Amino acid sequence: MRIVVKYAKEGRVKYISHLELMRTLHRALRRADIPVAFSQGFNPQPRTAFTLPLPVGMTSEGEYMDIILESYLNPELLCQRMNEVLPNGITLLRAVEVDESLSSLMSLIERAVYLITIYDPVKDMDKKFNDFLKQNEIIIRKDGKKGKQRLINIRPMIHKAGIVNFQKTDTVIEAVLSTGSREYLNPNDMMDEFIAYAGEGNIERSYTVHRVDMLISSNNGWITPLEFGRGG
Amino acid sequence: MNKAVIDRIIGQVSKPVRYMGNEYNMIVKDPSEVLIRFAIAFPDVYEVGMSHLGIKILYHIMNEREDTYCERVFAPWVDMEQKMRENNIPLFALETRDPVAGFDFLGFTLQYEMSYTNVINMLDLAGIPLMSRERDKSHPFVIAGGPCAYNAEPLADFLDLVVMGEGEEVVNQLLDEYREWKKNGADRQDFLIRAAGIDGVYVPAFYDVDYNEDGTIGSIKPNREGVPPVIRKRIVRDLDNVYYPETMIVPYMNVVHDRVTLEVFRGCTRGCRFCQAGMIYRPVRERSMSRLMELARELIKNTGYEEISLSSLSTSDYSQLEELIKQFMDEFQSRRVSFALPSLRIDSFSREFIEEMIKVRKAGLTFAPEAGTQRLRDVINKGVTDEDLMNSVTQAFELGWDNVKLYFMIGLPTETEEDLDGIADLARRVRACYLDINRGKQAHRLKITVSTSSFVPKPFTPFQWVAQDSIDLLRQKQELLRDKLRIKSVTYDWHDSELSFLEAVFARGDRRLGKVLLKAWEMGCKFDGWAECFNYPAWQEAFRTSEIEPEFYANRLRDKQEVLPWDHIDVGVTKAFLWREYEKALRGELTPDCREICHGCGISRLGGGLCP
Ligand code: SF4
Repeated sequence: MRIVVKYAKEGRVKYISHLELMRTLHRALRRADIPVAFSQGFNPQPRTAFTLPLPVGMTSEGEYMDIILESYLNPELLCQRMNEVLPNGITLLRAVEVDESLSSLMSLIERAVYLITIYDPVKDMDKKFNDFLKQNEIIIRKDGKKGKQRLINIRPMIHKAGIVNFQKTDTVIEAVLSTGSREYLNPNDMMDEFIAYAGEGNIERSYTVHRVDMLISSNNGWITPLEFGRGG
Repeated sequence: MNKAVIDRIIGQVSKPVRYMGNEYNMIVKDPSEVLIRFAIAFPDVYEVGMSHLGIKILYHIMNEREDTYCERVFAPWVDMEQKMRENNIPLFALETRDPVAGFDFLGFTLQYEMSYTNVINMLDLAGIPLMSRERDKSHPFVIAGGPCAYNAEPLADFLDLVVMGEGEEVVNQLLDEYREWKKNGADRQDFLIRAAGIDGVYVPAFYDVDYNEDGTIGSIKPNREGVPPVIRKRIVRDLDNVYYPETMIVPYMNVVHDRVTLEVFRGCTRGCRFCQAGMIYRPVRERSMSRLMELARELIKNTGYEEISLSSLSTSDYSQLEELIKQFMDEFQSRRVSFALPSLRIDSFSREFIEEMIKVRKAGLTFAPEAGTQRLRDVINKGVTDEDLMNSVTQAFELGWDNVKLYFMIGLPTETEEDLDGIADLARRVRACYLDINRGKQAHRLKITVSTSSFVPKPFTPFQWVAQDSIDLLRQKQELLRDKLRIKSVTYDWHDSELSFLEAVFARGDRRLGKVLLKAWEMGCKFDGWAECFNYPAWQEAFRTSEIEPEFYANRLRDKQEVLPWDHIDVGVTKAFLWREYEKALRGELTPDCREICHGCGISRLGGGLCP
């Protein structure tokens, strides 16, 4: 049996790395006595698969994990049992049974929706942000292999972005960004570039990033992995 | 406000998880509902501290109490410390992120000497006056325990209280006493007096030390009435009935021992003469098999760990080991819980034993002959022969191992070049054994690592009187060995002799070293056990400006009459026994395992355990 689980990573646990998160979920599976299947071979591992790592420091209510079970378990019961034994901040939100033949989520997800909160907004933030997006190209430098820097145009990876809540103390941007294995934009890179563009390059990162969900392209447009799992 | 800043700076440093808390099984309490707040402190980074069993036990014991909330604090790594100082964030506890300066106790566990500067640094970061005499009623009591606490004299000026021995029972007595004192509202001194009345509790300020002209100690005496002249360590008599947590915090980080740890017994009867643990943790007390199985079940259930390890000073000495392993395998193997056995002794490998282990996991094997010749192994009472080693190695190779590590000490008393040759000979024989078993075909897969550390004479051992080899001599020996070990498939690594020298100074140090610690800390020394932080020139400077010769402590041979800085501490094993063992060592005479015959070490005065 294959189950796709949607979960959240919030609060203090935002600082754990992807590897640590995986280990935490694996241990919770054991505590909750979930009949998860194990790989064969010398060093058997639980058969789980995860979506691309969420950068350390971000929170999310749209993370996904694939689990193969040895025997049937009601997906809701799985969530319930897991939530009893998970540390604060990691919560399973929904789970659905999916067809075992379906391709891996990892390869299907291409975009994610983010809410980015700036606590100390840049002056004339809305205008500046619009100007920022109006550029044909937004070039950032990335450290590549062997210490070489690469130049990347991130503009095509910003599919949608706009200010949804504008206040003096915190301003919230909603953005849909490429988050796939082929094309990937880290929201921090976009924000750092924007802050530099707005002429305030030396302020410390006073914004937080929250991932709302991930998206898969389908015949019916962009849908979430759970919708996809249900046959979208 | 501070907490928002903490949250922000955590995001700006390496390994933020070290400061995050919020692990599964972390205890959450409302601090306003407890009478006593205790910060248990480990003077090293999180992942080292969280591997330590003692801290976990004490954490849960104290939190069992309704009147107490025990939280954890570790030494912030250099980058975090810098951020904290820049933002005026004082040392805070992981659980509530409250400043520890506002707690009732700050309790350090002292596992190794080279963490002492971290103790001072943590006090400073907390904003607690460094010296015990400078603290007042608004400050926490600074308390210490752990193996180095048996001679915590170099830290005497910084500590208010020291607990000698096993903490499980003492800690409750201490907290009860504190509760009474807090209700009465008496002054700070009054609590110290009450505490000094508890067996095993040492208040350094209540003792005066005077010195002879030659720099040795004249006497150590209580400076007030009602304080015991000798402080005897505490032990737990019955391990089955003492508290052992059935749950443990599960760190997110990959800590050093990231698994369920089951303590199968305490103490050791082997009597290796260099080994402090073997002397100070006596007597041997075992946990019953049924209790161990019960704990294993609960702990696996409550932590979700995928591995269990058995811990003790020499696990193969557990009287029912084979049966225990069998039961573990039966119960846990199908649940994919694996099994680790540290501290195996080379003379104890039986073939079935290794086969059992290999079923579950295959890792590199470490053998610790400690010395290169039989003569020197007799001196240190390591009852292991070349033949034992070769037998075990043969079995390991036959079972398919290609990777072995051989561990030795250099600078042991009476060592000569012949003993160093012996190390190279053993490495050669191990290699030949592999080639023989594998018919020379797979020579390229073989990897033998020879690793040496420099001997550090420790208090409460038969070698507490001996002089450590000088840094220069140790270096010469390392160079000699490097030449002698130019052998195919063999690599040689060794420990820094400067670090071993400082360990030797502080292990057998007295109160006069407090000012050196302070000076070294002022000059920026911290995390001295970490190669990237260790600054030996700063230490040399600290000794110079304090006008203290470190060689007096490390490289001087003591005589039988000398008053040692720890003579007012009774660890059970007597000085007379240690001296007898020292003399036997110099004669190369063995003292067999005392499970066979009691040698009258003195520990039986404390009761409990397997002693006759
Ligand atoms: S009292 Fe005897 S049996 Fe017990 S530890 Fe000492 S020497 Fe060994």
